[in-house]
Amino acid sequence: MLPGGPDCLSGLGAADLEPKLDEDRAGDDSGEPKLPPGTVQQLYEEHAGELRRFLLGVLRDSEAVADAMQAALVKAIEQGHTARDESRKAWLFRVAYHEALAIRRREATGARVLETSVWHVERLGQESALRESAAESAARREEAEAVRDALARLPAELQAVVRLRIHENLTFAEIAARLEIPLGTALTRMRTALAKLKTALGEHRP
Amino acid sequence: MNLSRDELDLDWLAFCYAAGELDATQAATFEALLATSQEARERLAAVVALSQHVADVPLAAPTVVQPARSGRHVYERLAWLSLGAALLLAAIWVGRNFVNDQGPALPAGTGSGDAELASAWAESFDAPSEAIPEEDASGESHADASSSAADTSTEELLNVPDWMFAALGGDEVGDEAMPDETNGDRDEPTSDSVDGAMQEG
Repeated sequence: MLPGGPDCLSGLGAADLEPKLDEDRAGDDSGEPKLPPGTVQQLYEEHAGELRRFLLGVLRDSEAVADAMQAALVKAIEQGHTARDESRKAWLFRVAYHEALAIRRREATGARVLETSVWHVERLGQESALRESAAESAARREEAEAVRDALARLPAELQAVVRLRIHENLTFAEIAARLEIPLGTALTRMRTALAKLKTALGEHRP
Repeated sequence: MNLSRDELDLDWLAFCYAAGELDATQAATFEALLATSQEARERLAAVVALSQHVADVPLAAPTVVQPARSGRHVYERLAWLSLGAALLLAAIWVGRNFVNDQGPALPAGTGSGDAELASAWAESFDAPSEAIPEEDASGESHADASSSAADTSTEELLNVPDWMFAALGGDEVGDEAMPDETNGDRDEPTSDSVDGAMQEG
């Protein structure tokens, strides 16, 4: 774990980044101007939530996610100026992804991580609620409401597969055995349910 | 799980990756895609968000279309059946022991009260043949010694006071045989006196 622990990101803001950026400017050998603090702060605020969810999908551990985000933010401060403006988000995600893989290698958790479902590790909503802004929290609540409504409108057989896969964390093979349906049917039902839920969520978003 | 053409759908692939349903090779393939494709990264983030939303939704009543029977339900049914069979066997065993404690086995439909009645009936049925004394030529009864000795109550019943015989036989019995009711004394008759009185009568 990086110095400062996972909670060091919770109160991170432009004021925290500025001294670091000043030091980097003073010691930059390449001569290129680094990203201004406001730009780094904006980058973080715009993409932190999505980046956190992406990293949780890769790492499935909230503390490791925080470590990866902190390392990516440091890289953004140090090297963010090398990315083009239009691809700065992709650059941030790519850097964070490499940091995540480095953490997985270091902690040798790769195989175990890949056998664990992301929602089984912890509830992202509860974990991230401490770090997201009020606007993010409100947006997440609205999304959750939309998903709840969409889930209630699903046919019973699709709801059954969703519940068994996500709430009871059964594998598709176990679901097929439980419901006495072919594995392909279980997969198709889950896929159909996901498509419907995603459509409902997309319709909800502006 | 093989990666068919349909499974190349990024959303589905991302979901299977997040669900831990991909094997090592498939996961490595998807992670290689994550290293180069921002779209794949964003799809993974979206799938994680969606699945977390779903996981946060409390499903109060399961709307599952239940199969005819599931493995767990079969075990539960077997457990209940076993318990019921054990209780039934225990009840039968207890019932049999209770009947054995009550006495010998009786014909079906015979209760304990009936058994006592049958026993009493059998004794009373056998009693006359033992009670009837055999008479020889002298006219004296020679009842079975064991039965006369054992049946002391019958002897006592036969201890009739002399004064009673005297009353029945008139003055043949002397006044001395009358009990002195004034002083409460009472002569206890002997069997010889009884026999003698009977012979005299």
